[in-house]
Amino acid sequence: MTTISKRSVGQVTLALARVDGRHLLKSPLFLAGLGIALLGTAVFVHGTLTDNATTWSNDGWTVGAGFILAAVFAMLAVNRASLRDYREHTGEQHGSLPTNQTLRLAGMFGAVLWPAIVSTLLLGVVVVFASTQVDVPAITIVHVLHNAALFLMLGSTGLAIAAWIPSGFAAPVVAFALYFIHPGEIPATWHVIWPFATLGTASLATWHIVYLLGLALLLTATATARWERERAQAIVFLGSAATVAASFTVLVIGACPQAGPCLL
Amino acid sequence: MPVVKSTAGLRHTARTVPWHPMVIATVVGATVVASGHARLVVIPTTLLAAAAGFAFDDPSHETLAASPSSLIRRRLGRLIVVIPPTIIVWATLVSQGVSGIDETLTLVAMFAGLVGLTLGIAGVAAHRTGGRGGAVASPVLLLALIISALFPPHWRPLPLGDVPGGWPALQARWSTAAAIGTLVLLASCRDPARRRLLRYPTDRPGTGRQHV
Repeated sequence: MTTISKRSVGQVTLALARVDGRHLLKSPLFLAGLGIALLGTAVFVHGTLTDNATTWSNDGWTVGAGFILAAVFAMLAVNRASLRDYREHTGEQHGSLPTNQTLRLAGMFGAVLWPAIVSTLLLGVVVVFASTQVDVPAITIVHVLHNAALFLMLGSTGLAIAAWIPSGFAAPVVAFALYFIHPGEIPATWHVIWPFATLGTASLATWHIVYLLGLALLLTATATARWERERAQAIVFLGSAATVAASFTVLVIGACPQAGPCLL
Repeated sequence: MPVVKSTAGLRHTARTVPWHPMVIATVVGATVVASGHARLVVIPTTLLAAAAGFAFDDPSHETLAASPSSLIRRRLGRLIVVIPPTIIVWATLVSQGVSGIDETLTLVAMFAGLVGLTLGIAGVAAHRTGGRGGAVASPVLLLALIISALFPPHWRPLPLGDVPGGWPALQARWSTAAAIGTLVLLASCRDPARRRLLRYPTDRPGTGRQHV
């Protein structure tokens, strides 16, 4: 088998990310998720246009919940795309190509950026529209970026599941669990571990983004460990694990259990 | 040709059924039930119903499509193999936290509704995915539950919680879902090579649109 030079590794990864990213954007699962996000947005917009009592803090949750579910469906789309070789029995065929499995996985991780960027831009447009109708707090900008981190983290979850449990049912089980299970109505400090947790101060919300990005890298490194275990992967794994541990510690120390200013 | 397969035929069918979804659903469902949260009984119910959607996943779908055994007969054989163990596992898991006849009937209706819908979706999806509709059925079921939750409780078609009207309303809605799912499944079991139920005016010999 021929191998590609180190210089072109980046170019190949980018090319794979571009192709798979376009596929993800056209995936029926991602489009279904986007549909849910638009439904949530429509509920809020209808409220702002018909009811003067509508506020972002009380009614904007339908927008946030819609985009969270879109991220869950993006995870399903990434998982389905990652299971292509398993489904079509083309693993051996692709194994004869100069690109190895780790490179293809890195390309798929890059591909997750496409749905993340599209949905974040869409959420940004919704927030800008909302700010023309109701009073939107400044921290919402951080929450919009949080949405991108959530897409990356759940996309990596889809990748890791496909790598370690190659079954078309494993990712839907996680999706059902994310839909049905929630930490509870009574706010508690440990809720910061939940990827959907929304924090009420800019610094804590930023730390939660760092936490999600750390988890995304950790899960991608875990996925690549299925095929190759080299020094570079070990460095990424340890670095991301340290990032997750540090951000989680900051979040647990900084978040207060009351709903409102700290944990929304 | 007998309508139902022989025991040996069912044994061979059982070997071609993907069982890993049911194993995953059972393990996760049992873990949830063991956690002791009664309100989470809906999780094993949904997961086992979604796992049943893989019953039609058949790698030899294309090859067997040309065999004398009809699509409905092949699917019936797979359902006979998959549904009884699914019911047994579900009853074992859910019976731990159920009290009263009304709640039992409602959960039975919910399970029947979810299984009916999943099989209906999987049956339709199998036509477009070369006999592998199971992986499509689970996300579509999740989507259906999410869209249902957007409706106010009074109109919610697939209610997972309380609705006005109590147990009878829940039972009626899930029974309707089961009936619709079964009808969709039956419609999807028509052999693709058979004449269409609805014919276009141009479907006549010589136009190139006829379906034999």
